[in-house]
Amino acid sequence: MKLLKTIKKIFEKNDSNSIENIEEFMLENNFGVEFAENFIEKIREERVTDKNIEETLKESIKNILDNTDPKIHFANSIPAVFLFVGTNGTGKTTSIAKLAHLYKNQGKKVMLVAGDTFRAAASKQLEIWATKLNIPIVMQKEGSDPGAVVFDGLNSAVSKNIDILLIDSAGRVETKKNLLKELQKIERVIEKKIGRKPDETLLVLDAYTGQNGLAQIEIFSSMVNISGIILTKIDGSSSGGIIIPIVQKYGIPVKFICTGENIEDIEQFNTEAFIKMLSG
Amino acid sequence: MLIFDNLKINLQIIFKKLRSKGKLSNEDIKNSLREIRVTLLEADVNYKIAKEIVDKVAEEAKKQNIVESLTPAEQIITILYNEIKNILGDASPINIEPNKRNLVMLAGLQGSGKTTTAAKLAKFLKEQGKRPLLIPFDFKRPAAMEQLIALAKNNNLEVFEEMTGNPILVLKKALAYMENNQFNVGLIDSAGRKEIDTETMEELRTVANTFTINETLLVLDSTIGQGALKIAEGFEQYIPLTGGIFTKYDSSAKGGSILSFRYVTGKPVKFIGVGEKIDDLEIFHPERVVSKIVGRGDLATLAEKAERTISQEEGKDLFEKIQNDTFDLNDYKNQLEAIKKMGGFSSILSSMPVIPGMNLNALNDEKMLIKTEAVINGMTKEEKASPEIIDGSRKKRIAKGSGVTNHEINVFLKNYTMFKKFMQGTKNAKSIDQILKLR
Ligand SMILES: Nc1nc2c(ncn2[C@@H]2O[C@H](COP(=O)(O)OP(=O)(O)OP(=O)(O)O)[C@@H](O)[C@H]2O)c(=O)[nH]1
Ligand SMILES: Nc1nc2c(ncn2[C@@H]2O[C@H](COP(=O)(O)OP(=O)(O)OP(=O)(O)O)[C@@H](O)[C@H]2O)c(=O)[nH]1
Ligand SMILES: [Mg+2]
Ligand SMILES: [Mg+2]
Repeated sequence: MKLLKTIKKIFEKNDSNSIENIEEFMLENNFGVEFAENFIEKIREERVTDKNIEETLKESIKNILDNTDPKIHFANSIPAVFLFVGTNGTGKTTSIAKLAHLYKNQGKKVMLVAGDTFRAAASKQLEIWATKLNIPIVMQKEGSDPGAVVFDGLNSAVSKNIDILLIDSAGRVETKKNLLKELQKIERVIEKKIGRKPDETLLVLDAYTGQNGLAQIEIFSSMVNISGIILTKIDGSSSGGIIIPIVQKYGIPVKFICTGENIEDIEQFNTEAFIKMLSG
Repeated sequence: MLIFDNLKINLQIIFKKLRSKGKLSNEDIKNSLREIRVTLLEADVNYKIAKEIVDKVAEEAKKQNIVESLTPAEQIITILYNEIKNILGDASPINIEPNKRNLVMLAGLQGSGKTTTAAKLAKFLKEQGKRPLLIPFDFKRPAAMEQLIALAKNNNLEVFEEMTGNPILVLKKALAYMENNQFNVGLIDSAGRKEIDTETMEELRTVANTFTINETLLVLDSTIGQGALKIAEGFEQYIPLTGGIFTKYDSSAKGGSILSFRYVTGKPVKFIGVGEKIDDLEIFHPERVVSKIVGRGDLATLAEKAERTISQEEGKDLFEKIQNDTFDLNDYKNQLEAIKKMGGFSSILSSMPVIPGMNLNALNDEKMLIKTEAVINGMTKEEKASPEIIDGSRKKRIAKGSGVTNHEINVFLKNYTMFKKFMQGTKNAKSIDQILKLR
């Protein structure tokens, strides 16, 4: 249920149900029980009147989200290197295609690296996008070392004066330590080649995700230098509200949101727009 | 780690709290119900279902006059056990009829794991002597068909490769192909879609109405949060679901969405996906799962274990040490050991107060616990009593002696410092109960 409906319900009743309704709203949107309880304590302590609960919540959310910087980092030298990581099936490969399209339209020279050498036809999937967008891609056969593909990609990008290099990686759940270590290795390969960590290491998070989202961020960011989140599938029936406790706890900004399966369905994150979306 | 493992641990602690008091007040019952609610919500059980479960437990607790009971916690847990078991229902095998052509369709949101699961199921059925044919039915996602074909080739499975033209006609062709080649199970891998996308949902409905399908299985990602309820509702509206499959059970998600699925559809969960490889598919056993929650058989032992682990005496001792600032590495080690006895850090962690600055991942790793012990064992008495003297060369010696890296020693020392700091922060607490308080 979107916030607006909840709030309307609150106004219609305008009684002690408001707190219950706002709690349900927070829980339903995966803000988590801890966040919900803290917020309710806050409005009780501050004696927020029923009428102002909505504004207070919006303000809290705004404060949390505005506390991080959603700017995209580009180094002074090219290529800018973006690495995409995350759990399985969240939308990494598709997000890369979308960003490639976005930057290409801005006149940038973009190249892709098919760093997922594990999943069946993962490279093929990225290759189809590259062909559609008419941009170069570096890939190797299934089962090869992802570090080696990334190394190839970096070399190729440097020699071809590529502006932005977008590196895909295989999906992995946060419980698989060895697979997370593989990401560290990719990070090291990049660092060795360009003398710095990837300009952006973006964790791709599915908007349907529940409380596990917190573990995803905590564990991935303990292994590699996560600089931002791409929140996908917010065109679905879940709002992606899990980012609220995530951003609050880990201070990692959401940089992009994805709103569908088509190539243009990506936007830079904007707090106001997100709150509006939440509010329905 | 599943919802139920965690619930078990949390309940153990509630249980212990209740137990140590002997008799209960209404306030105690309220507190334990609150803990149950928090646990359920953190496990992604939908808030409506969590509320219902808690209400039912409360009602039943009242009916059974729990307050007067000598074994209140056992009773509460039994009630909870029954409530969750009711929702989970019974085990149910995949419905494949012999001597007949069977169709199984997998449906679900984008990226939920349908294609991977289709291949896993084909292997599973093949091992049971069936003749499965994988039928790619995703005309949309780039390389969807290639993915299924690759999975088939890599695992010696058969796949229908003609995928052009009208979807319904393609399926008809696939059925004819099955007929001609003696395949008895067709596994349809449909494209990912949102339950709120009426156009693609209608397409799915058409398929469901046109063909006789034995099993229409909703493939859901177990990391899904509260939204699972709506998703299940949505799919149910368009197609006659016969069951569900939960993927990515190998993540640390607690899988409360299973309750949502069951609650909405009443249909059995048939399999769980526990990894990306072809054999990472398991039959779902509700009984086994429920007994993991609050397994009646070992209920008493669990409670005793929790009580034994941190006995009142030991607790008091620890409390005094904190008060007197004499909590050292030896005590830290004892604490870790106690935790290990109780089932390891990973399971206990969720019910511990969050200790700021502590590297929980490091602790979450069972191996790390063993390593921590190794490190402590590798230290001299002196070092144990005053860890601040551990300099570079001492670190090197300890690292060598205990077989861990320098970095791990650093993490270890930092964790110890934080733990100690946290303990000292609780100095003003009135009792050990307050220190060990749940959240
Ligand atoms: N509705 C919707 N679907 C999306 C969005 N982003 C990606 N998808 C779909 O989600 C599915 C998975 O996307 P991928 O890009 O393959 O995901 P991935 O993270 O690369 O997956 P793995 O590499 O297997 O871990 C595909 O069907 C995509 O079309 C989005 O913003 N909205
Ligand atoms: N860890 C883990 N990964 C899984 C499991 N099942 C599937 N996956 C992974 O999840 C990702 C998505 O799986 P797919 O089978 O492509 O999902 P799908 O539902 O067919 O996706 P779309 O066709 O795009 O809607 C892949 O990376 C799979 O390897 C599982 O049980 N555990
Ligand atoms: Mg991918
Ligand atoms: Mg698929």
